[in-house]
Amino acid sequence: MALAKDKKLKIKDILKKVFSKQDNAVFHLIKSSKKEFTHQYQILIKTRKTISPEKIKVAQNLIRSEFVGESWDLRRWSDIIGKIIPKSKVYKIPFFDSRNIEEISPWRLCPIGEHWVVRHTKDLKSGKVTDHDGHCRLNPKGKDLLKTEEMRRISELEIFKKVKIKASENDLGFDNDNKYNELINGWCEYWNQTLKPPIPLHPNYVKALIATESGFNESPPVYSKNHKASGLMQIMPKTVGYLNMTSKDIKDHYIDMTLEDAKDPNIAIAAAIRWLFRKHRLVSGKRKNSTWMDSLEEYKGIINQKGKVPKDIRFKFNKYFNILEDKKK
Amino acid sequence: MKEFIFFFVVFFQPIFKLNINFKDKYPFGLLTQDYGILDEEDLLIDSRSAKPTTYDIEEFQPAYRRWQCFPTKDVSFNFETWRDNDPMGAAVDIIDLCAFSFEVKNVKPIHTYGGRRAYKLGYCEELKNNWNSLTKDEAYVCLNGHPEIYENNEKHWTWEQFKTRKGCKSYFGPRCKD
Repeated sequence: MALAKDKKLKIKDILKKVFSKQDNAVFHLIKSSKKEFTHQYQILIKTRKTISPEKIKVAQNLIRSEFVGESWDLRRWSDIIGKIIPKSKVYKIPFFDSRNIEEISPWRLCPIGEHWVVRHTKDLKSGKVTDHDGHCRLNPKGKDLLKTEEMRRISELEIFKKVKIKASENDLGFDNDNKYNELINGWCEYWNQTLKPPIPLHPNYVKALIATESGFNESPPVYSKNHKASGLMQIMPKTVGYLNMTSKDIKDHYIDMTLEDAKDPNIAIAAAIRWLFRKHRLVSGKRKNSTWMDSLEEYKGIINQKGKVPKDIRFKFNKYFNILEDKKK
Repeated sequence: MKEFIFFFVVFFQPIFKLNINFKDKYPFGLLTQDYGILDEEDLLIDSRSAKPTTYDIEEFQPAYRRWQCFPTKDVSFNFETWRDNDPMGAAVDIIDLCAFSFEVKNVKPIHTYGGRRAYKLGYCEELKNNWNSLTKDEAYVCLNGHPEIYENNEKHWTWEQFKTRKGCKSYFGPRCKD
């Protein structure tokens, strides 16, 4: 029995509500004319992830309440195929794929896996010039990519400006040490929500990092052949390359920026926090019960170093952090 | 003899006057004699980037950079090296890293001017070469930095620049561009 198009759409809507992209599940329909099936319509869920039975039950109940009088059943593929029903009785083309669910973060203009393209003109072969309004475009490989234009838009959002966890306003001694608090708070919250670390990154770590890297100086250029850092967060050309989509070091959540962009405090803070999360993941793989302080040391390249000079760098960072945390030492 | 004293005073007065003026004009920015090494722009740059404040060695006052000049023999440049993954690159890139400091001894308290992070070894070697060439045969060197922690008779600074009569080397800023 073939399913009507509008019925299919309704079921897909229900599945979208209940399941998420992370479930990584593919839904197949079983050919309906077989007499051995107890249900009129049967949907099989194929996934390598663990999906709770409650979740499946919720979806099933929603479908049944939508189509009263029809017999609907939702089952795991592994529970039924090869045991009760042969694989040949399943439609090969999936009915629905949870990986295609467009997840729109409240922070983002585009669904995850797409990026924002600013308004632009296009020269056609015919000689005409067309005007294209800003729009979302699919990323190659479907990975998450933040472009600088979208980063600027994110920093203007209400949720960006009104986050709950905020950096301390304690005086660090610099004239402008509270100038970037909103950007620090907003980007910490953004990356905490996006990358979901077990312990969220507190903005005070980022503020102490800025104090020690640039002293809240927006574009101090370093004049050296061997060290070409840029901006408030002293981002290196190499780091810019690794944050980009061409990197093999970072697997997802890329940032498309140039070294020139690192002079913009908004972009610099967003990129540096992303890099700090990368360091956090790296340290977590090396150390049990690693902390954000370990990640900061990894960021500064002094982790595991007990010598006098690295100790001095650690000592000064701790001083700034402790002032922000209201600790004496 | 009178003629000699007159000649000495007339000839050297502008130099002494110049130095005295610097110390008088920027008492918080120049903490020692400058031995004719600094020019006014060196001190003006610091007061443009942060509000000058009185100096208290025991206080944590990192915003306003200050100058101190010492006999070159009392100042040493050191760096430590180790191998680890590139902090600004890929996890698999194992490179030579370094951390440097300038230490002022034979004074009480000791002053340590350190860097901001670990660097690629090339940067510390570049600094070492600059230090050696700019301080060679120079009696005095001036150090510029942010005064930070004072503990156990040691004042910790974040290094910004060193200067002799031959030239200077800075971390930020274009004045000492190679």
